[in-house]
Amino acid sequence: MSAAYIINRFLQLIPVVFGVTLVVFALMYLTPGDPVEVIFAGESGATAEDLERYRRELGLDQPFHIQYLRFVIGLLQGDLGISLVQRQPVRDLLLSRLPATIELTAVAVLVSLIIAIPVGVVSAVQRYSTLDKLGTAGALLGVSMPDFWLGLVLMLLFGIHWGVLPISGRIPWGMEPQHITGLYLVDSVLTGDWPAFRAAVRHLILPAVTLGTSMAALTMRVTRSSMLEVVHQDYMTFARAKGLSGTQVVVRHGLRNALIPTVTVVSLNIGVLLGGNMIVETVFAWPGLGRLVVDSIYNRDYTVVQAAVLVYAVTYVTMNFLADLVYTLLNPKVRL
Amino acid sequence: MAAAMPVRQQPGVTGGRRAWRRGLASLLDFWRRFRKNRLAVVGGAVVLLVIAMGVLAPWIAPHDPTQADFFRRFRPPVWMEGGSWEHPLGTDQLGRDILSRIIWGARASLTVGAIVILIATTVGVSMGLISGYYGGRVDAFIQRVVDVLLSFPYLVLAIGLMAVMGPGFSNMVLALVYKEWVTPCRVVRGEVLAAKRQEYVEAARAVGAGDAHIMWREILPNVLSSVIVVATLRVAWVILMEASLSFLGLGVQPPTPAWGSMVAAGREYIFQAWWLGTFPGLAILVTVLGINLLGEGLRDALDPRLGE
Amino acid sequence: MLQPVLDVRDLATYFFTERGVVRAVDGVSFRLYPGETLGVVGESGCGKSMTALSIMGLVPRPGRIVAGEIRLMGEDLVGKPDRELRRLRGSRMAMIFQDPLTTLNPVLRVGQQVTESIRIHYGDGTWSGGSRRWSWLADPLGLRRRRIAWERAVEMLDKVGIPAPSERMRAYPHEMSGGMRQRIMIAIALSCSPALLLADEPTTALDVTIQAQILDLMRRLQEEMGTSILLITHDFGVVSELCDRVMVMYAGKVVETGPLDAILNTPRHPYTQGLLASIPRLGDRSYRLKPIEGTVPELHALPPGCSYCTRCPVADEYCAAVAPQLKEISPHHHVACHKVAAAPAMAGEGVPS
Repeated sequence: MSAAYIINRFLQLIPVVFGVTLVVFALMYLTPGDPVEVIFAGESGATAEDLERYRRELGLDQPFHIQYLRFVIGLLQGDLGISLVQRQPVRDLLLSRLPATIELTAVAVLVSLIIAIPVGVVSAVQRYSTLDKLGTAGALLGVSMPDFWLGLVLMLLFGIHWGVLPISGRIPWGMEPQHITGLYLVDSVLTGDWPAFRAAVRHLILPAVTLGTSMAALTMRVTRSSMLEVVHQDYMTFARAKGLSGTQVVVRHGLRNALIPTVTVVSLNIGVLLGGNMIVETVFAWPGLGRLVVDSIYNRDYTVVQAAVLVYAVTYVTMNFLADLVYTLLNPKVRL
Repeated sequence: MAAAMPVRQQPGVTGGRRAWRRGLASLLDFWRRFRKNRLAVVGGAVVLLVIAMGVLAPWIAPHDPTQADFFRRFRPPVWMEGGSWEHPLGTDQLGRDILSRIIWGARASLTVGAIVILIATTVGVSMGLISGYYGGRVDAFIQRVVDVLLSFPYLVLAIGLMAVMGPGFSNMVLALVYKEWVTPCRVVRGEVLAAKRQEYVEAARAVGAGDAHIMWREILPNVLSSVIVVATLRVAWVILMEASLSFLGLGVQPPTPAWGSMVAAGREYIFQAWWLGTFPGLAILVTVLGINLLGEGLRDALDPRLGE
Repeated sequence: MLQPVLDVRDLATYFFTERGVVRAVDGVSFRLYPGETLGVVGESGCGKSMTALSIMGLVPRPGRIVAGEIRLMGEDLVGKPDRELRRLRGSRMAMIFQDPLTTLNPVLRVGQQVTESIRIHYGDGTWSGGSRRWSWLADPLGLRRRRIAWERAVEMLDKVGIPAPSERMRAYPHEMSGGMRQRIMIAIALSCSPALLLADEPTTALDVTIQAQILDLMRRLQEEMGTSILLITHDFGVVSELCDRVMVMYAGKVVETGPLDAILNTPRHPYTQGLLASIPRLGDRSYRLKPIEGTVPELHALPPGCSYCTRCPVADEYCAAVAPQLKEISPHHHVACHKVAAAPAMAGEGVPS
């Protein structure tokens, strides 16, 4: 993969990101109601002049394109605006919630891939076996299941009926490990705080399973179908004719080829995961970005919603970009 | 040589109706293959059942779904201690009958699913036809819009729009259509690009058929079956999204019964009554599963190779 | 008497499908001696590829070998566990396929694919260049093994006529021409100096000029390495170039076998005669092509008698009822036909050169 290809692919992102900022800004601009009124909603002392002055200060009296320009310039300087309700920089709010979301999502993705890819491969290689039938049925169930309901059922069973796992939050109050990265699993390992590690893992299990299920189901289905196409290829027979064992053939020759379409489909569905993130964080009271968005909608804290939508979109675009690079790494034919 | 042939035999002139007939014939073929797929037929039956439930709700629901009764709150399902046949699946936090609410809730899910897919498919198919057929600047513009819309995770865009427009039924339909039309658009565009190279389109153009004629009568019948499959599978997705929005309180508003908001109530009263959210969620699962089975059966019947 | 490299006796490979049992290979026997090339000829679907896959032990499901023996240098392969067959595949017996584009893995570099079989078989005692059992003690990380495999691979690429072999080791298959890819495949197959090479239509997917080069290469390497070749083809031109003996198969059975000369010049089975008569001849417009009427019958619904009787010009009721056995009609020339005496020997039509 040449540097030129990466740069070219990267340049293609610019119009897309431009469009994304435009949509996000328009969302805010078109919002019915006046942000200034939201700000002063609880304060009785404010006069009409106060409101007008504040409006001018925020630049809300300017035409659309000027406001948009100011918005973009702010973004480039890392300024995401001020929270209307909490009265602090939106950036700080988002950053404080980010580690929780990253931790949950990363664990969910890792676990689902570790389970789904082998199951998909084995289902394809041993087609019509019991494992294939179970795996296929499970995957179909997984893609059809609403994640908030799965979360609820898991809470009812493991949290309430058997009472073996906690059902909300990241960690019991006061047990937080010393802050280094904000990721409790990492921080607790770094500081050797094993009780915190144990608690963090226990809190992670149900939300991660809930979030990872649809991803795992999807990955399993794609891996299985692309592997099914690969197993009948001539190069698989030829590899067997060289004296490789069945497992070696599947791992060395099959998987590399089967993963190429898998990467594409999985990357397109990272969006499902990011959306699911809001739902799952709401269900499990997980103090992350998704929860912040939902709370901000209830509070009419539009600047936070706007910024968070932007963060989600940019994350998604970046993920797809990275997946594209992985795709070219796996597939020598598109290497330029 | 196309020009040397008698005009009457040109597919572009008489072929419009023939092309539609060809499309219908392949649909019949499709049905024959579809019938053999047992799981798909089960899925279709489930879908019909849910539709019947939604349509017949006023006559088959045992209770008024919005009728609150403070003295009958949190009644458990019939098989548990304290349950009775009067409320087979129990009652919720306001004493409303859960079974009746599930039956009525089918309406919300199905209407949103049907309306969103209907609008999105119409818009998406038109956009896809225009984009693929004309190419050039029109195509480039539409594709840029598609790219930008694709950069938002589905639910994130819907939530953002709902936050701005406020909750409610028509806003939700709008918020879902905003992104949903992209899928049929991309499918149709791809098919049109492939179809443009086919002989029947060339032949139609050779005898001077107009653009609209070619699109409507030559290309559309040929992409019909894939549009149907995609639309079916997307209904499942839209229903999941509707339920998610309703779960967050941004979708169907109380007191109208919706499965998503019923699960939200189940989450709220998780320590009091497990049956509040479990059964409505099960209804979502069964409905979506049924649609997925049906859609995949349709897809396999459309193109037997795909399922293998 | 010389020990045959390959001795196949009454091999039967059946496919158990929903529509019935398909007898892909049905009682095939033949021997292959050191340094010899045996051509297996027939239309597609006659069981020639399945014969080769049966020998390799790679019959795909739902097929399996139901009877017979396959002796490779005296060792019976039928019923051997896969673990033991694996040791022989790629080292004692190797196989090359029709289409080098689909046979080479598109995502792996050529070097990796060529060194693979050398690395696997190095030190397992099957490859003459390999060391003995405890060699890994001296080479725990396999570095030496890797280096030897790399060197051997470069040597093989050189041998099959790839220019700048060290550089080509880093290329991907799609960066090479069809002829190059077929050379690579031959290099892989011969890298462990196998006693037996099964070549399944090795030139069919190539241009005519490249075909000649590849055949040339195979002949040269055979002389150099003494490999016995089982050459599967439907092309009598290829047969006449490379083979010492020919075996004609129809519907899973051998119908005629004999020295190259006898098959090409005095074929006795109506099917062989038909095949030879359907070859176009260069520069002879007066010669009329005579294609064989009909197609190979469905293998799960064969007639009880001679499988060819449905298309045979001289068949009668007896042919349809009783299956003919192979009979020696002249030294080393066997034919399975009731009508050998009646059918006129096709003379003088000879080798398409």
